[in-house]
Amino acid sequence: MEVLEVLQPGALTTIQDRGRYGYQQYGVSVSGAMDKFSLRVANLLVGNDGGAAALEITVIGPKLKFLRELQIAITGGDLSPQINAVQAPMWQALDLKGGDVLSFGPPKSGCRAYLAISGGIDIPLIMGSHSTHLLSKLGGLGRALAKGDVLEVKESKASCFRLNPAYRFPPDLIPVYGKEWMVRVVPGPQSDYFTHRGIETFLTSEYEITPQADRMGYRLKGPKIKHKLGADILTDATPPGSVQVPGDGMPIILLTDGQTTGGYSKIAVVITIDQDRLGQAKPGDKVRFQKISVVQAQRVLKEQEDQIQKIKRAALLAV
Amino acid sequence: MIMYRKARYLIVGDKGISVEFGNALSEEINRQVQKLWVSLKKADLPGIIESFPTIRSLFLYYNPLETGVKRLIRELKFLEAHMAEIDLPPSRLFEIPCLYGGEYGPDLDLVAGLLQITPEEVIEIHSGKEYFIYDTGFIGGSAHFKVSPPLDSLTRKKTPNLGVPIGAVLIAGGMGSAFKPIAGPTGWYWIGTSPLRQWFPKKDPPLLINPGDKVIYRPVKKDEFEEIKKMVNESRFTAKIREPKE
Repeated sequence: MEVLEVLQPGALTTIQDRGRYGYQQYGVSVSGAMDKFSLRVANLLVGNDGGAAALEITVIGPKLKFLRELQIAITGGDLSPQINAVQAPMWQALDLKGGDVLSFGPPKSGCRAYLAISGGIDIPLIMGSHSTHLLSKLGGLGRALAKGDVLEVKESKASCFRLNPAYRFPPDLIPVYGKEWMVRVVPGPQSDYFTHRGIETFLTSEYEITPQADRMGYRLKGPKIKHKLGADILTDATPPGSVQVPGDGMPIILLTDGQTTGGYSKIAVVITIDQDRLGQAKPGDKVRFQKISVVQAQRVLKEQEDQIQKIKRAALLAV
Repeated sequence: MIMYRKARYLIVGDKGISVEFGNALSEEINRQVQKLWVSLKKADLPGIIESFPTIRSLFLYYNPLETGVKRLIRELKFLEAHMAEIDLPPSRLFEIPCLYGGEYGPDLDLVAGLLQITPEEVIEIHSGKEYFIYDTGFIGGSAHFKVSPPLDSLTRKKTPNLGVPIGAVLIAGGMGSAFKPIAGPTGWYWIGTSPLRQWFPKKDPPLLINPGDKVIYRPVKKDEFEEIKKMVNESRFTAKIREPKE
């Protein structure tokens, strides 16, 4: 069922879900939404499964014409969404009718907005996921949205939940995105490749996100991190969140489209929920790292999961 | 060879564990990795999202809401202790046609110059050996192997190639990449091109060459390269599998 036509594609608008798992053995990146928390909430707000395919919109949003009556929700970064040129609220379900036009204005906060459509975008699953991996042209449309694309949602509402009409997303749960980020990390598998001072430099300094920042990862610049045993290792796995430090001493945070393996020593790994937050960071933003234990990291992940389940129970009827 | 007496269990963030068997490019270490992978898949432990082998370690991605790191390490150590019983399938040896040098391997002369041998000698050495595949990683499943002297003395290029095509045959840092699955930048030396394809996203498994397989190069001329390439493009070509000698 055709639901929208792309009038203007925006800077980089792609179809994403919660990611592609089980194929890293073949060099297939996890991919999926850079900010998976916002993607899941957007989906829940329109009665979809949290992992349904939705649009990830980057900095400069698209202009989309809707072809029929449906519900949408926009979460994540505030890129000034407007419906028929009137400012549209985020973090709630919105009722649209055929002919309505969604557009975006100047980015106000964050970097990536998520647009979920009731029913979920209908696109074939490739290796178990709808997500677009740009470099390998895998999944989604195999590319970013382009002018003239028409997207469909599933005809059957079987996969949808009924919405609780009285539900309001708690305003205190709406993330605030600034320009300075405290990012929690677990010490990396090659912490022993760095001098004590190198690790101290990493944990106490401010780093800036350089313009070399995309879905694969962010290159940072700041005080140089010193190695003890050299920068290169025998290649091993580089899951999303890996902070690798090449010979120049400048950290690179690998993110959801990052390669599956790499040969630079990893000083730390960003905790899962802060990978989502980093999805809202932009070049020029400042990053600091804070060390926590793996047990603490898993506790905050559990807290977030409980929060999402709570949203799900409150927002949806008959879950 | 530096194989650890006991594997190291490394924490990789809040969802990952890496079981590291050694710190060297060694077939024996890699076979330990493969064995643990086979026994892990058989054991079907709860909470594991996926696992995959790399050169000297097995990486596991788990859901911490379904299992705990301590429990998982305990379970893995049990599997490690019983690994001797695991048999790995025999290696398949793939023959890789390769057109060396010229515009199909623009770094061949550079490599010969660095090693102070002739380009012909580079080709002879590179194509004269069966290589064991350690891992299929990076992007699109590049199949990696260990190169022999003197090719193993090359470090990575100072200035990366901004784009090499599908099929590019690469060496650097003691390793070779069978042929590029997907076009893209690389810091490795590009010495030849194979008409074969490694990456078939709609097939299961999506890769032609997988860890534990072996490869051997067969130098081909332009005519044969084009002929095979045409057949590959029309899905009429079946890669030749030979009986391993080594």
